[in-house]
Amino acid sequence: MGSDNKTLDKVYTATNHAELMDAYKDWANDYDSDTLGSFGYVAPVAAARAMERVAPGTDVRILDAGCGTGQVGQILTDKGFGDIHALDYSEDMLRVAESKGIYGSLMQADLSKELKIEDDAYDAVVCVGTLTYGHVDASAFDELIRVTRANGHICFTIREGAYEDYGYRDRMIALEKADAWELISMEEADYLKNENVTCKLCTYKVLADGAPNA
Amino acid sequence: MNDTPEKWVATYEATTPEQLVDAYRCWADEYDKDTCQGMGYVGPGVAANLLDRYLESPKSRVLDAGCGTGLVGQAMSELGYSRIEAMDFSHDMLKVAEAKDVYGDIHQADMNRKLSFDDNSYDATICVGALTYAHVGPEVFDEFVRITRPGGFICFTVRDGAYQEYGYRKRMVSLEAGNAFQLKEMVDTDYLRKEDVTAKYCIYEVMES
Repeated sequence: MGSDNKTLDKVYTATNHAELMDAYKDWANDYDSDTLGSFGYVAPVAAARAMERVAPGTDVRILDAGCGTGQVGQILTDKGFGDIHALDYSEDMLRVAESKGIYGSLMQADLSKELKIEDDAYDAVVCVGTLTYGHVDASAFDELIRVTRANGHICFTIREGAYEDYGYRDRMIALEKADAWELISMEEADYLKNENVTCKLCTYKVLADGAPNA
Repeated sequence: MNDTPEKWVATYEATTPEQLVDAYRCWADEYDKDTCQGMGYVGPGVAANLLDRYLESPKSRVLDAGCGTGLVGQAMSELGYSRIEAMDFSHDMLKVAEAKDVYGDIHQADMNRKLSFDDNSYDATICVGALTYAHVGPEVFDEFVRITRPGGFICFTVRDGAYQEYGYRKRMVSLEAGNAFQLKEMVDTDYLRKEDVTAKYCIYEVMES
């Protein structure tokens, strides 16, 4: 990570939600050009491809959890998906996402808490760039499983390092052991290509008789 | 899989080790031609490339577990590896493997039993096409973990279906939960290309016990 990337540093070192939201507020308008340009943020492309591989059709109802400015939603839209719903904690990022005109609905919510979404509401969830330092902890998986129907899919990226340090790995394995979901694929993928940072790109299938509260 | 040769089907339908050995005896000489050319069997090359991305040196000591006719050894050898050992249950397949001249030691062994190798003997264990119905049970993972050194890698293929039904998934998850190994990658990709059959390719790093 280059030390001149002050904005990115601020996002990763936020110690509470106010600081994180503050960081994104400053960044929202330049986010797309910064990430796509200088950082080489390629994770949304890889995640959209993973979603395309497992989705039974383009009419699936998808939750873009931690949508940010809507980069994943844009790529999924370009691939023909037409029923995508946005969720993010930052109002400022959601405003940029909304302006893309690609989401069926937008919701402001905290992925670290219980979501005001019914069980099995979505066929699939995509969550890119959100499971990382300073953002959302591993308990978010339980909620993502709850809002995804049985046999639906959850595709997400986890930044390298955070995977082990931040409790994600332990929770993912515990949920698999409890048959809440089944791992379909886990790949090493580029994350911030120009910064040589990689991520785990994971796809899970939600199982019917799992016990999410394992 | 309409064009699947009867000889291949026989290896899946064997109900005893003797039947399995017979099935491979009848197939050993024609195996490479039937699988690689006939069915587009790309598993050995894909798995060898995956393992190669993780190994630090071509001097790594690698066990090809369930080597069959030696297609994996050949692929590893082409990638520059020179310390590969072969292990299979079938003497007939081992004979074909030996003729490829890519292996150091050659071992005849039953992977459903405890292996005679010392703990931490290998830098990597690779097992392609052997984790399937009628072949090797999921307890083999415990042995792979034992004979592979901490920080080393275990790379294998497993067919979807057998993965869930044959207890492989349960054992893999349980070993990972116990921190015996850690999944690095799992991908579902081409296995029998001409038959449109894919398999899961997995690579794990062995942890300090």
